[in-house]
Amino acid sequence: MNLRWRWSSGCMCGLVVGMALAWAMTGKAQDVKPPQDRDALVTLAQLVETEHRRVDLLLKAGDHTGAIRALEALADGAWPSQDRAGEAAVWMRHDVIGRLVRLELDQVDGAPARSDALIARTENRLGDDDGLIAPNAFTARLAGLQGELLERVDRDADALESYGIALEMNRSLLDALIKEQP
Amino acid sequence: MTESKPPQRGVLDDAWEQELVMGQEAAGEAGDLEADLAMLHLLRHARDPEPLGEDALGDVLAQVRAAGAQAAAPWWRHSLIRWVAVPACAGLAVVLIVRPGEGDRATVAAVAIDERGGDALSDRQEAFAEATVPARRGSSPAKPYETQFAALEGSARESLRDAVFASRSLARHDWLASLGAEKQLHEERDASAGSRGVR
Repeated sequence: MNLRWRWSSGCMCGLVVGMALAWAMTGKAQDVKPPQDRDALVTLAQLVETEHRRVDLLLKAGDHTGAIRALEALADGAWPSQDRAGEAAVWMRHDVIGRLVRLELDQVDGAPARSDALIARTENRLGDDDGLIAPNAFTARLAGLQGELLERVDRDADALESYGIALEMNRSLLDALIKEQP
Repeated sequence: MTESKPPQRGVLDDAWEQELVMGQEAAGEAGDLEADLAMLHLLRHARDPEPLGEDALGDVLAQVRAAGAQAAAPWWRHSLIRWVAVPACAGLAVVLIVRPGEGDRATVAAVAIDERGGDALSDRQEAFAEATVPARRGSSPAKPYETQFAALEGSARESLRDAVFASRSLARHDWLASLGAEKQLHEERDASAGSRGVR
């Protein structure tokens, strides 16, 4: 009886350990952590989708200022926390700010008029969740954009650091992508 | 002249030990008596074995059994290997074979929704997919990170879309389940009200 119990409990432990290991090992670097509040994520995604479409139309009409204002209003609005809406919320926010910064940078050759505000915005968002954000393409791009901003205001050392973060994140993502492809 | 014979002594005589100790003391504590004394004790024990207590005997047997088992059993018959490592490998293999790939994930989710009767959602999913694509415009090809973003963007948006779609599907499922429960509650209330009316 004792031997049978030991055997079965050992088997169960082994199975659980093996499955947990396999699950952890095969997890994709770009898997998104699920949200606690699914409705919050769905609502946020619909809002972001609508705003991106509006920005598309504004840009199509040549209203760059309006597009930038729309993106700023979206980025500065109330966003659910990562705990509530999951990692996808952070990804979407970084995507929005990335698009905003890109638009601002594309308007001028040198430093944008509001460089400091843009740098502060990227720094704040890259510090989401104490900077412990899993590698993803949107955050990596935002770090790269921050580097470009810093480069344009002649803060080359800081720019290098930001580029380094972007490159490191992109490298891990590209490695994961290459491994996935047969 | 007769040669003086040493006194007849039994193996168990304590005089052996006393003489050995005295001899060592006479030689200025030189030499080591441990081996001689051990042999003496062994002979004494062989002649008149001292019984071991139950606990001591149990300990000795357990040590002998463990040493024998360790030496006799091959590595693959050790309990840790048989009961933990082998099932762990089996579980690993099962997960690796059964777990759907990333490409299959959306299909699995879509099938799950279709089974719940959520066909109308597919249109919205496509709409969201279309909506997320225009966001990639405006990138500067001159910067390496933008080139890398262009390479990674498709996969990232796919993951994002899957996450939103899965949440939307599950939220819809919860909503439908709550509707069903509410309807069932109403029906039960109506039925109980009807039975009271009949009475």
